[in-house]
Amino acid sequence: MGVGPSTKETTLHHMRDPLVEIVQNDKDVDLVGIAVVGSPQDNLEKFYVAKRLGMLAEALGVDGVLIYAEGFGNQHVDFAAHIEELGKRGIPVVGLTFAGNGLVVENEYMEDIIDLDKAGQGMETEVVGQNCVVKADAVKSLKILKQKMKKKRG
Amino acid sequence: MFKISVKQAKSITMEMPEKLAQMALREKPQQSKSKAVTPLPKENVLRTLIWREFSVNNVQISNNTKIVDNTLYLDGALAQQALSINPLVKKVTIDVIKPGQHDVFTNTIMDIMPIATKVEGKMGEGITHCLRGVVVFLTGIDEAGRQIAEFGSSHGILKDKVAFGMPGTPKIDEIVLRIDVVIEKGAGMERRGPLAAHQVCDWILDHIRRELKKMPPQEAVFTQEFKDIRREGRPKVLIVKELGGQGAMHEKIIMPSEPGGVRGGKSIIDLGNVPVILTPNEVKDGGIHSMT
Repeated sequence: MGVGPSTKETTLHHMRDPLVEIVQNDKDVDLVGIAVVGSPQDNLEKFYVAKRLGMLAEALGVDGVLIYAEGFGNQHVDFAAHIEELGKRGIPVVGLTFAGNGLVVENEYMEDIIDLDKAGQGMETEVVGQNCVVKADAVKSLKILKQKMKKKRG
Repeated sequence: MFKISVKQAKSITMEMPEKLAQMALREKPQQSKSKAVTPLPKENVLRTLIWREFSVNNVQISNNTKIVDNTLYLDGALAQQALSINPLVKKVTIDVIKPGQHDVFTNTIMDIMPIATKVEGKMGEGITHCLRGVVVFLTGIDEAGRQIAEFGSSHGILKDKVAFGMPGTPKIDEIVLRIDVVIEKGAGMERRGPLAAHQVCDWILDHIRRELKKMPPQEAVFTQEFKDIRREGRPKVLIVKELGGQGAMHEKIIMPSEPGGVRGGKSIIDLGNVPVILTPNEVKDGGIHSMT
């Protein structure tokens, strides 16, 4: 399990990333930056990286996080760990990933996950670019995050 | 709580401790604040990136590299010369797939990238030139005929294997410059194999980039300024991108020297997979090169 053709983000995708574009141009939020984090093979390392991300978000004092995970399967172990580390610190999170037939692990903070399965087959379709983030996903995730941040502020 | 309601009265004198009056006054501005329209945020522009696109409507394999009259000529001899860049690469083929000719066989698509170059400044600021209407496909196979992919290869008929018009794929009417590589037997499963393929591709693109740098600004068909903006007082949002970092095909190059390039960048694996912060403009300017 890992990154397949339909879920991988090509270099072109990163340059035209709708998620970055939508959040950057939204005047209601202050985009502090884009944290890129790798997904290591070893489980212990996965939790090490997740902890570092949690500390980074805490240090930046962010009010909300949009997290995108490439691929599926064991990549979702990190994905869940990242969300847990952020959730524990009281930071609202919205996740975007190719869930297909469901995630391999879940936790209490993962109530808002947007599934990127465009083909609707619940599996890797091997068509390049098919199951990636598009504008609609980005708009939706930001909307949910805004609501969550508002709710937290009270 | 102190409440008073008067229907008809001529002269009323009210007395209360000063403390209460102060408290009543203090509450007032708070109430009006929540009702008032939220003011426009104070925007701090940290950096500016100028993005210029040059239109190309024809790509030809020729005997030298140049961009003339919206036509990109690419030196066909580069395919042979590129072999010296990395000995793991055994054969390179360059061809052009025009719109409407997508009914061709393709090896697994390793990456799709634009042709862009820095003209001024470093990645994420300054000026970038980009070619519009043409994208590069890097495809590959190993000597034993095995597709370079750990699992889920996208080899087959091009039109069935690419979802055109997505953010990460070209539009149906864009020209595809295909660079196909054959790498050493078995190297496709190791990090060095795909890396070699990407390096060779990057080296070939460098020749186009050199020409692209020379394009006069007035010939650009599209120019835009992208700004790294911080909005004071607005809720702070962080975007996290979890990228593969597990070895061959699960790797990204962070911050190469040319937009979407390989040279000069560091692998996310070598960085220990720990979070690294990029600015929105750095991402937009090709700060992440996909090795999947």
